[in-house]
Amino acid sequence: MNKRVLAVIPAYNEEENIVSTIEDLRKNAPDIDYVIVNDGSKDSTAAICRERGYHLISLPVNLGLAGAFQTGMKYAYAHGYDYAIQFDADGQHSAAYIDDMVEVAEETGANVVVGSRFADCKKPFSARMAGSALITAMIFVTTRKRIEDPTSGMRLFDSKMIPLFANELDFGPEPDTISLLMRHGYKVEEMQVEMRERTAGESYLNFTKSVSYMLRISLSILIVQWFRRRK
Amino acid sequence: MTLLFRITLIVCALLVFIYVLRKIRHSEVKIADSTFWFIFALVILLLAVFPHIAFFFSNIFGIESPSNCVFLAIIAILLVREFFTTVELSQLRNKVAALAQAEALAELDAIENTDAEAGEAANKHADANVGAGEE
Repeated sequence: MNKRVLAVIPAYNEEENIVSTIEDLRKNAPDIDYVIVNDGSKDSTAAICRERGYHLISLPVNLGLAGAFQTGMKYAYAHGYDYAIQFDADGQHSAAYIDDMVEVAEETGANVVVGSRFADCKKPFSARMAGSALITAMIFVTTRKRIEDPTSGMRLFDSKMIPLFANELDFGPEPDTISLLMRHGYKVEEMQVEMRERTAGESYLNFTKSVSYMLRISLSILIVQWFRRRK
Repeated sequence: MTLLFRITLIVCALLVFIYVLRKIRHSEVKIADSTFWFIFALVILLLAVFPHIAFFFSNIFGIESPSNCVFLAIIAILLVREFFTTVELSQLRNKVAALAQAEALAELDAIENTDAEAGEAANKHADANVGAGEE
């Protein structure tokens, strides 16, 4: 493949998972570059990365997922990458699918390719997936397009998208940004992937955070996105 | 709660809503930060459209006028909000300090490393000269 691809890996306190994630990338996607963005981890994530010579950007303070991801996108923009893919540090994503996702982007001219657990498989009808189902419905109501796995963190962005995520306000790696891009005529495709369950460490979400997240995303998709300017 | 008062509340709620949307459109505020104001505007709107809510609470608390209840609600909400803003400000102050310190320490590190390298290079040069001198 002659396109330059960068995997952006935001990492917060992932000392238990980062090694296996990077080894997965090296083994299953050897011709793509990667950069770990250490988001002010309090554990030995940064030390482990330096010890093993992993490609690392280390933020001096914690900025949160959006800030860390944006850092990686700034790097991608500065170094002229053709594609940037958001990739989890906790081992839930599988590097073997990256090449296929780039191929989908090349063939369909998509600006965004979402690695989706439910593109070909049915989404389970459970409490955990309720939020995802709600977001899918909201996106459908406002864009007439179905995104089955809107909260998937495995998203490939092309060179038109990279400067937007690197520099603009409110261009976080969230489903409302995907929805906004579709509303503004950009092409978003989904591709079936497998994801693993988190094996170690803590997830970021608790009940209060989930509720405020859903509130913000709903407000953004249902109301605010009608008023935002196309970039 | 006179009709004029209720209409004023509705108009003000709508103005807040429109103004915040404008700020978002001009990329001057983040959507996450403006969520509070959308909900606040909605609360004011609801109090104006359904005056029974204010009647209910003014009866419970023995407040003479329901519009006083509306004032109290607005003040209480803003005070709570102010507290959370103070908390956020504290955390931001901390982050700025951490950033300034990291920057300054990194700069010193760079200088000390350059000095160390220059020192080593000078030593090697001196050793080479000494060697040449001895021959």
